[in-house]
Amino acid sequence: MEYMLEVKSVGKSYPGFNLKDISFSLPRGYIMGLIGPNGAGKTTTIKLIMNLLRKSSGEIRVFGLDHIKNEVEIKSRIGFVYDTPIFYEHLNLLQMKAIIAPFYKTWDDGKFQSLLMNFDLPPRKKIKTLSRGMKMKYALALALSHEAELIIMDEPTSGLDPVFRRELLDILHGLIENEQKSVLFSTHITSDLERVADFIAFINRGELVFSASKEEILEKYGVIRAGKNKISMAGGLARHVRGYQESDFGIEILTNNLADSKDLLPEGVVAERASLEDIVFLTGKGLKEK
Amino acid sequence: MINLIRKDFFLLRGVMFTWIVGYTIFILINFSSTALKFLPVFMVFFLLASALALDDRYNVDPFYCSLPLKRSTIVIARYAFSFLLMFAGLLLNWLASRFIPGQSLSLRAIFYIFSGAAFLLVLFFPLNYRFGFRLENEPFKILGSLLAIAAAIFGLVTLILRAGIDFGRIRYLEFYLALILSGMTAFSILLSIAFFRRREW
Repeated sequence: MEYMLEVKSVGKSYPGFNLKDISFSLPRGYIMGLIGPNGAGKTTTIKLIMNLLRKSSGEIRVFGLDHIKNEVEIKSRIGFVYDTPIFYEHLNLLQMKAIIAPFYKTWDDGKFQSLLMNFDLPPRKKIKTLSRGMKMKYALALALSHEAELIIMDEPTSGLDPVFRRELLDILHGLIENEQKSVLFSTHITSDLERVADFIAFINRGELVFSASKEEILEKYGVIRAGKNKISMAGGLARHVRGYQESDFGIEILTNNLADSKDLLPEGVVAERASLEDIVFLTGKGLKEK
Repeated sequence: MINLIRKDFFLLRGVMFTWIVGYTIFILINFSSTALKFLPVFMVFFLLASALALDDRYNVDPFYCSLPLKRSTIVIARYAFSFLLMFAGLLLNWLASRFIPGQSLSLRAIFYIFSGAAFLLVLFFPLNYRFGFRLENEPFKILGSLLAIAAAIFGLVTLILRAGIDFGRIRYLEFYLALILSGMTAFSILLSIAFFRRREW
């Protein structure tokens, strides 16, 4: 399998925050969602890939190349979109394009014009007058006009209304149709991933919880819901538990082995498949309350 | 690198046009010779400050670092843009002095003006790349004050020059000055690159 992106045991230390041993890979022609609560380390991971932050440990390879030694070549094949797109906002869309285009040998002006039309972006409108959704689409149009093979987007759907969000996700999904491009995007909105992602890497408190295909994750993880004192963690169940919450209504337990956990449950207690939201929420809760 | 320089000229085209029109008007109304000599130098710093302010305002450094560019290229392009501006300013000055009687500038005077401006630039850039992104920090303000003192010294030196001290008697002064300035420029570029490479966003 040809990998567009390989992140191996990458770490980054800040005062008060550590990103530890992050590893995942993204094959060509797929979409990977980087998910986690706010402050989990998603943006840090993306910035490390883009060499906007210097990693403390590990290795990052993009298109099979070292991301620092081959930085210029790699960046010419990447389309990067910030969570808040950075532009000279007093310029209009064509003027900003005139600044960016010369940096890419593979820039396709015809494609840029057609993307502006497809995305309903007025070319002579000043960037400062665009809504966040339109700025995001403009950033994507720029990223796609130089035949980028890997699109990396940091929180592209955050702050967008549902219509724009859906539209953007459909665009991302359309990108991988020819199986030549890949997309990595971070989000804390689980429904975005359910809609478009093929692979999911989940980061929580600076640590990688899992990185696998969406199907595999949704198949493996389950939620056990039971009344208080109806279930015991003793025995084999404990080793599968990844998150736990107790409330007035009962307890919710996240297991990373739904099949085995089902066999260990007492009568009357059921386990069902976990949604991505369950996984993120209950993993976030952790085992502190257990 | 050429694209980065072109980008700066493109972004500042409006301000540059205003300066050139203003300068032409000064010349036409036969503005004082001192102003004629130093306006282009002032213009260089004003345009450079405008370029940096624009980049700061929109926080574009991480944006350029995500383009297929080496960080060293980004730094060198900024130096090149500044020196180009300076040459353009001096050329404008020299051209003006050719056409206005009694306003001519000697090559030596042009050399000193250029040296003074270049000295300030090579001092300024490493400070900017080290502290420029921490404008709210006290150390930057202190360094800014030091830079202002340096500018004042530069002004003093030019006044001494205007007072007619014959530096021509000091042999090879220009040669040594050019040599020192070249060394300082090289060191300044290396220092700025080292600082910019360590920047994180």
